[in-house]
This record gives sequence, C-alpha cells and structure tokens, in this order.
Amino acid sequence: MKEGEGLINIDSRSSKPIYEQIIEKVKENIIKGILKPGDKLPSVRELASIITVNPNTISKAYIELERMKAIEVIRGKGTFVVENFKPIMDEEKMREIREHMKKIIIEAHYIGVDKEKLIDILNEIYNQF
Amino acid sequence: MHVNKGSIFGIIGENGAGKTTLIKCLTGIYRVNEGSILINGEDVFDNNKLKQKIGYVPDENQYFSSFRVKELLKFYKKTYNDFSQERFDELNKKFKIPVNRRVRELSKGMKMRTSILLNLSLKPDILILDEPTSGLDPVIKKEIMSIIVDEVASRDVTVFISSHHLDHIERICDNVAIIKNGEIKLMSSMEDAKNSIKKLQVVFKDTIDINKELYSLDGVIKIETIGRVNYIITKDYTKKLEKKFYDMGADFIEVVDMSLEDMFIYFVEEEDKNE
Repeated sequence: MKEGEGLINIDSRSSKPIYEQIIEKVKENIIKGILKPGDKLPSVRELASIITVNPNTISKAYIELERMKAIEVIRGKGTFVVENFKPIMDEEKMREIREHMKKIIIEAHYIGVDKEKLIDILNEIYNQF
Repeated sequence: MHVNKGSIFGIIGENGAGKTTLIKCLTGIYRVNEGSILINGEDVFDNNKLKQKIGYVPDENQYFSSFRVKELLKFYKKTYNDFSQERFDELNKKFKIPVNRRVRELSKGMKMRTSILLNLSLKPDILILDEPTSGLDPVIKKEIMSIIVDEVASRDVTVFISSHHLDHIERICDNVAIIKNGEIKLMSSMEDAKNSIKKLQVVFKDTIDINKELYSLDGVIKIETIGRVNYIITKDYTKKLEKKFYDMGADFIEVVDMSLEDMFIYFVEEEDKNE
C-alpha cells in the first residue's frame, strides 16, 4: 500500500484544507485513469497512516466523495471507485474555474501566447486523459 | 479549553510559552492554582484511577539510565493494570527496541521510541505527548506520526500533542491552540483556522496612507507594505471584508497561501506589536 503516498500528495503549506486536497487528488486520479472504476481505495486507517493525516479528516473527505458519487462504500469489503462516475455540475466550482481561467489567460497574454496557442494547449492536456 | 474524545489536539508556542507546564497540569503532576482539569468529568490531580488510562510521553528521558528496557517493562506492568505484554511485543516488531539494553546505551530517538512504546502498551484512553519528535531524524519522525495516527484510527484514543514541527501538527491535528506567555491566543479547528486566517495581497488605487484605517477593521492583525502592495493578515476572513477593501479603493485582491507556521509567526508577532 506504500504507493498511496504518491497517489495522494498533501501540501501542508497550501491554504486549502487538507480534506479538500484529498477530494481533489482522488478526483484527479479518477480523471487521469490512475484510479479505475472498481479499484479499491485504502481504508481510512490505512490512508491516515500512509500520508500521516488525521483519520477524521480522511473520513470527511471519503464521505464527501461518496456524496459526489465518485466512490462507494461496500459494507465489509471496503471503499471502491464507482463503475460509471458522472460528475455533477457545481455552480460555485464553475465560478472558481472561470476565475482560474481568467488568470491564466491574462498571464498567457503577457508572455505573448495567443488564443489559438492556448486552445492547442487545452487540447493537448485533454488528450493526456 | 475542551478536547473531544478521539481527536488529536495540537498545542504550539514558543520555547518557554507554557506548553510543558500545561501538559504537567493535564497529567496531574502539577496542582493547578486556579480553574480545574477534568477528564471524563473527574479531577485529574491525585486521581490514580484516571491516571491508569493516561499515557504520558515527556519531552526528555525520565527513566533511570542504569535500568534495562526489560526492567522498565516490569515497572510499567506493576504500575498499570491494563498493561499488555502482548501489545508490547506486537508493537515492538515495528519499534525494534532491544529490551536487554540499558537506557543510557540507547540513542535519543530510541529513548523516545521506548517511551512511546511503553505508553502505548498500557492501552491508554488519552495519550499526552510533549514534543515527541524534537531532535529526531525525518524517517523516525514520520514513523512516530504514523503510529499515533494509527492509534487514533484503530482505538479512538484522544491525543494531546505539543510540537515545533508545525507541518506535522497541521496534518495530524483536527484542533489546534497557540499559546503565548501562558495564555491561549488562538483555539480553533484546523479547518476553521485555514478558512478564516488568511493573507491578502491588496493593491489600492491611491497610495495615500490608509494603514490606520486598515488596522481599525475587525480581524486585521498585521499589514506589511511593499511598494504599492499591501499584505494584510486577517483572522476573520469573509467576502464582506474583501468588499470593504474594494469600497476603500482596492484595485486588486488576491488570497495568498498561508501555512500553520505562517499563522503561528503572525500571532506571536501581533502581541509584540501591541506591547
């Protein structure tokens, strides 16, 4: 189970609460295909010990991921990535993404990257998933 | 101050701020002058029944240096009714403490691990650790943290820990307190602290002196000005506060990442500013 350490990297310097970071990392790993449908996640206790994070924080993240229907808990068996993960649109998150994009576009503009180049990059990243 | 069952409570403060004193009160070593310390509703001082279920790992070795580890083991067995040899053996597979060695022959890290091992073997309900990782190498540090987290996850132990390794505290604690000159300056859940204590990078349209006005806002604890950029540290971050800055003529506001270490430094400095 040692690989869990690389799977979920926590940055304790970030101002994002740790449980949010765990949620993000798990979602990212699902999108990238590192975690596949039906894959078993480490238990709360295992993950707590691997990444040395408070177990309550991890259960909070797992509960939230379950609510988002990204993972499911099967009693007596463990926690698994769901078979067909359908993301739900979240307005608050969408607003955040828009803000991030704005920042990126401004920065790109300053170093002379135009719209076409940005779209190329976007496509390139999508192809990696 | 209140610590919930099954939580990990971290206390941080400068050297000499009163962490160890507080811990010695909690463990019933010191008698408190004022107030009271209750564990499960009972006063801890002179309460042997309660102390049976408290594991205490002090910040420095307090074992007789001529004792062998197995003699310490015997002492613990006689002292604590619930001490489990089985659990000791099980844990020692990980700790790898040579039981025939004398305490003085052990390295600093080994002494600390011996102390933790013995205290975990008495199956505590409450584990109190005073700087358990100071002066230890990163591998052992991580291992100790991992063991503590595992204890909480598997046995619902309540942990009270003091440390200067703030990145560890930030990861494993759900609640945290900052102590200075014997006074609690901040007490909050880790999450609330992260959400409400923020550093904002603010640029105002006019460069007129607005420091005074800024300081008068509730929750602003520090302002650093570099050129046109103001770094404002607040302990009460809300969207409303951002709006206030815009009303005051802010052009640009950005939230900058802040770790527990940064928070700690600002809280300690805030006091000095007021003095």
